[in-house]
Amino acid sequence: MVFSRENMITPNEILADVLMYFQDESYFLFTKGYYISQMQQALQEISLDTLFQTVTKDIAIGGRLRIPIPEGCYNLREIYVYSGDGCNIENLHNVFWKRRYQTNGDGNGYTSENNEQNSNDPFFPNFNSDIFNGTNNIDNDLYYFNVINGDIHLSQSCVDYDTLRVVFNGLMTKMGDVPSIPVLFREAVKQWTIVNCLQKLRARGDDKYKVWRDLYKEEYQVLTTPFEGTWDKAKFRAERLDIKKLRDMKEYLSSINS
Amino acid sequence: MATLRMLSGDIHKNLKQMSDDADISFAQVVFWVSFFVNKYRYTKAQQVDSGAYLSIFTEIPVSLFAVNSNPNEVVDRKYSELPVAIYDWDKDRAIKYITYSAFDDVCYPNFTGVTFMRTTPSTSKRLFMSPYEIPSPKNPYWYRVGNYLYFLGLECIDISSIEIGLITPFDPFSNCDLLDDEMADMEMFEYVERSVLDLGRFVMMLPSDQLNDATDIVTNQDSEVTKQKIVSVNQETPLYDPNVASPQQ
Repeated sequence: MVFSRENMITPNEILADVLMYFQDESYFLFTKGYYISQMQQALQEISLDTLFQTVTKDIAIGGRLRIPIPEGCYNLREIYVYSGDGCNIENLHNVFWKRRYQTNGDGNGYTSENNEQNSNDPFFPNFNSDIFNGTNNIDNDLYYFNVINGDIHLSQSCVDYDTLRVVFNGLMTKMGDVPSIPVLFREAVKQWTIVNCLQKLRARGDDKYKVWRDLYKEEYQVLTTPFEGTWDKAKFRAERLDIKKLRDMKEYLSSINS
Repeated sequence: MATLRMLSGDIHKNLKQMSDDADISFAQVVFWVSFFVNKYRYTKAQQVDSGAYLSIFTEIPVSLFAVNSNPNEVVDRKYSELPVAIYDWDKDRAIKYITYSAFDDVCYPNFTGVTFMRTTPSTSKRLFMSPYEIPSPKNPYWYRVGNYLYFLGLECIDISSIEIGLITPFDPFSNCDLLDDEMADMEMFEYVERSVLDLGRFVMMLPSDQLNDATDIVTNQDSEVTKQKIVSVNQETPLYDPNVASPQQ
């Protein structure tokens, strides 16, 4: 399913409902910032659950072989290297993942269990070193990467290119930014906020403890009931294929000319 | 509509009839009445969502102390002084709102502007741990220290005044005329009158041989000190019960 940026709703619209629920228009129970923080956390969780947001980031390589993972990235989808900038993409290459590959980012050389220097290793086979170190004309373009501690480690061949394009799933809202909420997540974000606030109220153990406890049970049920709960509904909506894509997929898989 | 003078006068008359030589001034009765009016309002205003006891104070100046002066006066911290006494409810709930106008066009009233939120000196540190809750001009906080309201988040801007909505006590000696219709909530008359009369009777509870009954006869029975009627400690008269209609209604 897709959504339009024109249909994003502001936290104030959800806040209006949540404040009404708690009768906390004067912010005696929680601060305004606390409510908005809960909304941001809801979007964050729903992003992690649904891989909903896809972000593309172009990073100048500048001779580096270690590049920090972009902020908000938690799931890599695609990595490319190319010459030029985003407006003029030339010599595009896929970059593939190599297990346990590691480089210090400068100079030459790397470590990896499976490497071209293996000889008589009891487990890993010997390889033609020309394939790995790029001296062979045919296999000069071996582009691979690994991710270690928040850094993308690129192979030596990538250093000849200008730009690294990383396509990834990101968190919907950066911590501290005012969240913009896709309309299809409205109910889930609202419910998440209510449930988390009720949880805190319950923990306070004040004279309305039983009220908060009972409300928490009810609202938690509404949020988390499988299939019918607002959270699952939001996930289904996010993961549902568009009708257009579905129909095209049917065409691809069927005999178009028949 | 009944005024404070009418209510006090009625009670005063009743007390005088009960004990004609008692030295009870009208001012004393008014004070007793205001005492129970406040007790009634203290309870009722917490139980009902009513604007009857709300007082709005506009253009309350925001100031800075020039020098430290213990206790409670701290230099370089913006504050306002509470314009009147307020009820001391849990979490300072007698302060209904504090706002300042943040609209470029002033079509809307001040209280729809930026709302201050409550904090305390001991809990405000947590606010700085979340980027959404950090005190700022758009996210300002207040905390009460005695009669002062200090502000967090206004450090970098100049604000000359704020608007405050307060639930204020009833003060017949400084705030209202005895002839004013201040006591619009007629339903409290029954409670106030009964309470003041009870108080009056208690105050005038004297040994019976000192009562002015126009006789010189002294008996052992008369000389005994009058004892208060024994009632259950659990028997408490509710101040305000919205489900029970007042006898006057």
